[in-house]
Amino acid sequence: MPSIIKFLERLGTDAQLRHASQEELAKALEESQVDAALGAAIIAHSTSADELYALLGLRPMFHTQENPGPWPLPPGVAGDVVEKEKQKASPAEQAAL
Amino acid sequence: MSTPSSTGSLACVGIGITLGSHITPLARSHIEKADVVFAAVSDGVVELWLKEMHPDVRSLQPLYAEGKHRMETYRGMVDAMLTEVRAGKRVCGVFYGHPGIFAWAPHRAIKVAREEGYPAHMEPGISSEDCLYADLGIDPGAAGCLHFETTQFMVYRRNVDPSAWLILWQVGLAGEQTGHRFATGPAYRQVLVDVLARDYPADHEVIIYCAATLPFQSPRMERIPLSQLPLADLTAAETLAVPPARKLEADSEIQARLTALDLVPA
Repeated sequence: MPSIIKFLERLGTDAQLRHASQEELAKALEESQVDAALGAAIIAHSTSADELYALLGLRPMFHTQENPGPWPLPPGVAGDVVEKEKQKASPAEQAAL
Repeated sequence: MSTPSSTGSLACVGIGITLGSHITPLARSHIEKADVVFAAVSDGVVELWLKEMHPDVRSLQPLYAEGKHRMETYRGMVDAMLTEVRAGKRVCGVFYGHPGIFAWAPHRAIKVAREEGYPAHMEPGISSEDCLYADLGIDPGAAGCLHFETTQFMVYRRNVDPSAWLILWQVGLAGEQTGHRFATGPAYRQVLVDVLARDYPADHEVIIYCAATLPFQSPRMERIPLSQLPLADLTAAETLAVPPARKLEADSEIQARLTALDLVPA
């Protein structure tokens, strides 16, 4: 496991490290042999992780996963709403949906 | 339920919100024992972490695209997982937070898999809602707590109870009706403010909240007057927490009926 990922997993599972001071974090990073620039991004300890993402070459991810609707769906895109309407409709109406 | 044509199975698990902190032992076991793992997580570092747990982790990120209808993306997620189930694979779908909260594809994939006769189930994970209670110090049992997806809250007439907490999810997408955008702007949020102004004063303090994804981050907890919401910097990850604006109102008639019942000999 790359040392940065291994270190972050440790950070997330260790009750002392999770809320450690910058000094304690710096010491743990040094012991873990994490790249200095990545370590500095972690020590910055803010709500943003933009610097870390940049260093790892990562881009922001899409993460919306719901569709509360009923919003209009484009042709050919079926959703629960369409299927529910199909269940209620007559055979002739179903063909039109 | 039909008879399955292979021995495939599906488990949809939550990986929690904060890397390393929230994954359950059972979710990790599902990941490690799967033949193939599909990942729908919110952060590239979290995806790298997941790839360390299994040699065949397939990201569902490529299914997203600007301008593509979200339902098409979610359908693609379901199809990707079910194709491998039908091929006889033990499939694990990994979703950030809780796989059943604000997530269409896991519910749908499990439903279809079961209809086709395949074993399929969901394992819960720690959600943003769980983190919100801890970070903001809210106990939903104290005054009650209403939850809505923001756009749904706006476009349908809902019964708001200003004596309870009101939590609006995906406030950065407020008023998004097209299904293919991932953010809206200040004008849309102003409409939200106007909806909320039916029940809350303009200077009512609201909280913009976002849980920590990486274990060195702090949660975002920004308190602003409701009227300032349109100008706030928001992404799809932020949540709006609206504290109660008035005290609980006693229902004296019901209280009297209950008191009378207490006086009836058992």
